[in-house]
Amino acid sequence: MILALLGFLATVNPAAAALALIRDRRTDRPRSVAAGVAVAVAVLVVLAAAADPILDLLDINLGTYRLGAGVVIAVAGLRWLVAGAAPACPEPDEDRRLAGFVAFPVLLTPGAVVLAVSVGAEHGTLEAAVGIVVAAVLGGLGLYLRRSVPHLFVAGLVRMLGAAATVLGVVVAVDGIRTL
Amino acid sequence: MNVRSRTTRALVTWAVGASIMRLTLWAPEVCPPITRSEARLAAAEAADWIVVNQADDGKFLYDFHRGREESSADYNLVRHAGVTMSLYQLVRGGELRYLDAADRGLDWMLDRLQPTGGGGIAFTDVNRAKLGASSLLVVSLAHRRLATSDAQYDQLMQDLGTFLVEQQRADGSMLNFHDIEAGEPVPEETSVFATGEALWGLALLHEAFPQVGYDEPAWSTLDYMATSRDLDEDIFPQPWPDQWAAYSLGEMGEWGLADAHIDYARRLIERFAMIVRFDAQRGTAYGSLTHGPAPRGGGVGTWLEGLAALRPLTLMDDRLADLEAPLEETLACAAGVLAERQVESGDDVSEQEAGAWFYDDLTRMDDQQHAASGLLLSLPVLP
Repeated sequence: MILALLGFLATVNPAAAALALIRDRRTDRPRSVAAGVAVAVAVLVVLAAAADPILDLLDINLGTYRLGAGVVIAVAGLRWLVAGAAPACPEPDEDRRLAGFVAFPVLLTPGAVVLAVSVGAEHGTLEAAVGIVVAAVLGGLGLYLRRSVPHLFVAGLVRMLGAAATVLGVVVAVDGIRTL
Repeated sequence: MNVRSRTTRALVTWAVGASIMRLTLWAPEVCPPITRSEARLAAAEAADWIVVNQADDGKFLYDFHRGREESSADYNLVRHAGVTMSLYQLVRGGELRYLDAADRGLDWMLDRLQPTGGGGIAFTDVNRAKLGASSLLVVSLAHRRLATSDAQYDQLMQDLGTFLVEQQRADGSMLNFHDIEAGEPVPEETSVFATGEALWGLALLHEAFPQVGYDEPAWSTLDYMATSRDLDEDIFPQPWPDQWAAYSLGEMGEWGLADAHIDYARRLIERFAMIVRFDAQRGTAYGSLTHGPAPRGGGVGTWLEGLAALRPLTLMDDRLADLEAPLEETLACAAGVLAERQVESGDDVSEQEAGAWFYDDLTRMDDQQHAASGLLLSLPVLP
């Protein structure tokens, strides 16, 4: 449970989410941010719940999937580690567009998506859901509270979580190699 | 960059990334379905290739290039012993019609026995006797004994066993060569193959002659293989997918394996399974582009042998019980893949091609050997 939680924290990277709109301080729309978080959580939980049918659809076994998932997570983590968070955007005017942006690409990261299927297949939907909810809510909070978070500290945190995601990706890939 | 362009860029990145993943690491694993009778037929056709192309003196056809329609003058005593062993495995598996061919292959070996310095017997036709050749002769004789209950070669088996023990070093590793004239092992030269072949020979000798004490050198070599062999031989990645080690572990499973041996068995199963999965991904239309050309029939055959030989451990030892179902699924997949690549017999197919596996238009006798053994041993998991 704790490993899954840490995994989603590293792959969702709430610190990177907090920086996604950091340059813009015009509006304060918690409902849009909450809607985006809800959409991201719903998508990730559905992916975790549908893990087995997804693997069947792909025609690969869990080990093969985890090998690829590990590579995706490691590459995404490396990107955060080396380049930091993606450049911040100006906040969109429409509420729906803001909610959509919070969901994708801010919270629905490649690492989180592939990890959701992996954890769902191996540990079940409930364990995946706990990690998903905690990581996504933290990401939403960070984004909403961006005015009060110290920029330099959060930028450092982005890289730290990127490093954690890189390590996690290697671990998942090696585990995939060993999984029958 | 605004929200719209960042979202669009992310979508494009995802689409490209997903496509790359689907073509490479997440390519579909194609496992052709295969029944028990189909696998038995494929194994028999492989054995037929060996027998039909066998010379009157018992020597096997070493290889055949179908593009040039010719065979090379090469030969290899270890592979001769391995092919003979495979035929005896088939005889044990109920294919009695291969006994005559196997015995002729055995006679060819019996004409090439030399005394060693330590009172043993080696199978060789040169001064440097290769350990693997004698080890697989022991295995052949052990399978023959189990299949026929004929004890006429019991003394020879034990003389060969004496040679195997002569080649063992204090740490359990095995020296690959014996200098017949000097009457002593050639120092410092080891082989990644010979150690496992010798271990399987020793294990079968202990099963046949428990009073002699072959178990002690067998344990020593198994300890070495489980803990040090891959390091000493600079194997990467580890473990070496060693079907001889798998056969040995399967044979010694009832002796009471230590945790280190079970861990080694688990790592071997994982390694074989990973290779099988990767190979199954070659089954797509683009598989040979993204995953390289299909390996030799002998290569896939050894994976089947390894998985099948370790399967009994997953049934009898609780420490490996979690691997039973996935191992069987993987084994069935590999059997289907292997059988699909076999050249089918037919009126317009030559005797040198029917039942064989070709790589770059070349087949070698050990392709059919390992494939036949692997398919035969995979039968219990097939529908």
